[in-house]
Amino acid sequence: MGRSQLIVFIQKEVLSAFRDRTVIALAAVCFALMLFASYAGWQRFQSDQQIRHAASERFEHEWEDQEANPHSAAHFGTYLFKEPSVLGVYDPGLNTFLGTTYRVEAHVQHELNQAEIGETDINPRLGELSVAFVCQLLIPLLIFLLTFQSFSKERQSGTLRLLWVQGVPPITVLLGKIGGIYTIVLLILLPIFALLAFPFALEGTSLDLSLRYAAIAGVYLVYFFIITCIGVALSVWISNPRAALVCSMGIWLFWSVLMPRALVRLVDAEIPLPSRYEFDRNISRGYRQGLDQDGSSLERSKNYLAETLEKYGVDSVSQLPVNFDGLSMQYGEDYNTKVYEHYAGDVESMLILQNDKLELLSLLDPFVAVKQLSMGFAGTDYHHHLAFHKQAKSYRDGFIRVLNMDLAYSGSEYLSYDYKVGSEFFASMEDFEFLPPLFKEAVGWHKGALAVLIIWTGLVAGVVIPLTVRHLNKEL
Amino acid sequence: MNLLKVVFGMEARQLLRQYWILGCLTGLIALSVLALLWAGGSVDKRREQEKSILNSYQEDLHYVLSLFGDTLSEKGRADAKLAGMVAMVNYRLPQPAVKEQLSLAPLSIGLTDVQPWYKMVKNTKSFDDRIEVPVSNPSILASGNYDYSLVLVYLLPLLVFAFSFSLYAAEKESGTLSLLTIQQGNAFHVIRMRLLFRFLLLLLTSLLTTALLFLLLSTGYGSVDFGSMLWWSGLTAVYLMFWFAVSYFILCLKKSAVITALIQISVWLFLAVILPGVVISYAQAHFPVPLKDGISSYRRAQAEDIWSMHPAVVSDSFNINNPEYVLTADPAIDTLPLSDRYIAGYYDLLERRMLRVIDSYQQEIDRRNTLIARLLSLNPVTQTEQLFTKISGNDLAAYRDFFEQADRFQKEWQGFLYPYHFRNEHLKPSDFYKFPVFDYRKPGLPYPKILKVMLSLLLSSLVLVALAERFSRCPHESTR
Repeated sequence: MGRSQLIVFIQKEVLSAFRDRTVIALAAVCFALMLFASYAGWQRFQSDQQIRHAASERFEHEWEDQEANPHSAAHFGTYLFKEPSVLGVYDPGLNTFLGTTYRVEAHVQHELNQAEIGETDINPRLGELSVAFVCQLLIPLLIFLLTFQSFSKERQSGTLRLLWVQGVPPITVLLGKIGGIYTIVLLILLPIFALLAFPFALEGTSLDLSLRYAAIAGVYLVYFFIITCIGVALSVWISNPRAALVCSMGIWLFWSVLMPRALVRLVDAEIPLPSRYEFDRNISRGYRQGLDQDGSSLERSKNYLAETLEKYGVDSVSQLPVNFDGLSMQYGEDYNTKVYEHYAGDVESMLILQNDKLELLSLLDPFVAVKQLSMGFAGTDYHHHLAFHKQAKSYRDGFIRVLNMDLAYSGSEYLSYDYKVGSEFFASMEDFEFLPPLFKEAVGWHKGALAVLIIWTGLVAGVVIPLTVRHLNKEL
Repeated sequence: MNLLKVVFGMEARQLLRQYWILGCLTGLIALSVLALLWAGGSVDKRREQEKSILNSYQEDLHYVLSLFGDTLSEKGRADAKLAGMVAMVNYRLPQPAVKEQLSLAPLSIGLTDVQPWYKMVKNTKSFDDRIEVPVSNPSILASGNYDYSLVLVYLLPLLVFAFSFSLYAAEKESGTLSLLTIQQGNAFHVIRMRLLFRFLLLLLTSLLTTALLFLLLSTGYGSVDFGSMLWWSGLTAVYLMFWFAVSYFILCLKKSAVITALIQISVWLFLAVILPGVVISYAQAHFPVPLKDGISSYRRAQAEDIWSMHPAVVSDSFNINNPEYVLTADPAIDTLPLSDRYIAGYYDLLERRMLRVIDSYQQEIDRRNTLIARLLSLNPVTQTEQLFTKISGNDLAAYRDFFEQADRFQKEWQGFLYPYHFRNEHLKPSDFYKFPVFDYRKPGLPYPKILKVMLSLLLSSLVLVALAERFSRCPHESTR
């Protein structure tokens, strides 16, 4: 196969595609939609950031500006807000479905509340408009529209027969078609990807962020390569352009609309989650009656009191050198955390298992794998959400402990709430700082989807292309 | 009339000969039944959870009643006394308020997996941050629902296109077009009749499928009223008519089959995907859902403020706002710190103050949703989808209505317990059978809205057909 011959084919494909007004119109629509989606995403990111900063400052100020008993302050508590991910501008992932606000409060382990989905009436059925949406749904459609008659057109005009007569190997023609259409896709997308890198680069980029962005772009480029190969292969196998168009649209619809829904239903049916009522009831019963052989809350309290009295070698609470109120409340907190982690841990494992299964099943539909990888690298998937929740929960546990311990060792009397601390104490408490997961962690979480994408690339290169070449050889 | 017979006869023969048409129709029925089964799975799960809540409540009730059984031992008497205490009844037996699923729910599951659908009601209204949002996997939620409304609203138009995109090209290629132009003056007679046959075929299939699904629903989910089925079918019919009108209009542009298909797909993408996406992205960017930080902050401030008030002030405010309980007032006791009336007054005052800020938050949310609805009011896809969800009782309004009903029930429960509370009287076992029970009032069918959408679809179809007629008379034909 002559390299120059291949380049000529690619050039011809690109030139003829850009002569086609339909292609130009579709490319322009995709380009415009991506720009609009980025603009809207950027606006949303900035307003979310602003709103959450303002809310954080408000609660920080309210926290520091108080004079209260440490336990009353623990009830008063505070709020933590999930910072929006800058790459969420391009792929909002699960943002709409996940809570953003974490309540820090004594006695209660909260989850992240206030998901946007709870407040909206009309939700786009096929996905929110974003750069990721255009890449996942519209660009594959554009590729199918570019490929469906790539061979049938040549067949009808007789050029294909001419090429065979001239002795051009079918693989050169096939790779020329694939290369040509893929070059068109690159010519449309690379400038957009370069353009979209600007805003977040201006925000102050890091190596991790750059790696994530490059990985997102890489995932899509691989996905488009797969779609291009499949589209061109369809055009070879189905000689009637109408039938090829219907078939391409069918695959697109099946992969991007029907199959993802079918796969999640399978996963959901296989690993059923508990109901909210069951979950809450388990937690409250777990605390009241105790896990395993820990005894009821009353028994546990009695035992703890006995242990404490023995530890200090005294007979009554009033003789203790510490305020038992603070100690017992911390003891209750620790047990509450244990119960919560027990039941929430189960749910968490189920969710992760569901997601892993979904990634495995994406072997049937690369769209699902690409979706998972895209939001995973953008930091808008469940794992990143979980990372925030874990850090927030850990901060909350430490926060309440500091307050309980202050009460315990304050020298104040048992069950007397006259003891108060001022703003100096509250301001000295550590602030919450979220450490976002690293890129390599995101890769680890989505290795299933990555493997699927690699398998699909291998399938296309090792099975689809050779089979298509064989089909073309038969035409010779 | 003769021509119509000939064309319909020819179409019928083609239908039997071309397996793809039968395949598509079978596919439509299969996808619809599958949609009902999958969405029904969600609804079944929810119904099981509803039952589990009510069963658990009954278990708790029996447990509390069993505490009255032992009147001989000292512990038994103490337990019985505690079991009848109002505060303990309120703590041990929060009353379940459950939004029952309508029998049409599996047809369009809407916000089923997202919105809280039950509330454990206590005698005071809670403003804390815990809400009973269903436990679900966000990745699954983000993948979107698969129900019958998805099949009708999103997939049916694609089937309309598959049935029509090559009609003009086929007539042109076979030469009948020029023949008809010479014979009748307007070649679109045949195309119109073929399209009419296909419309009737698809309409019949969709209506039969709908009837089949309603039949399945009535056997699996309780009685379904005939009226709902008629409205659902009517809406399906006009929606289908709209897409056939779109198709007819595009066919009248006289382009090749491929170009016709591309235009049809573009129209579908624009109405079903791009337009809703653009509108919602715009709303998200410029009218973000406000955080409830203001409400939380206000709640904490008010709680502290009321807590710091003198008990007499709080008790007085309760008596002024709730004159029905004045008769049981006893200033000597009520003005003591942590008295029953003081505690009731604390929650009463907090609720009154909170409702003001919650209302203003809600108004902001409503403004946002109204803006989105207004911007999409001319989009037949979102309009029809919303209506199907509304008929199925799974839209936001249905959930809001449930919360309002639950709030009213909370007042009823409060009204039941407070007289015992203020008289410092314990409940007897027989009183437990007098508890008010939450009775969910299902939303009725939104007739004016259905009629409005149906009329607008009908009107749009007529306008499209009229425009198409004008185009069909133009001599220009694409050579592509």
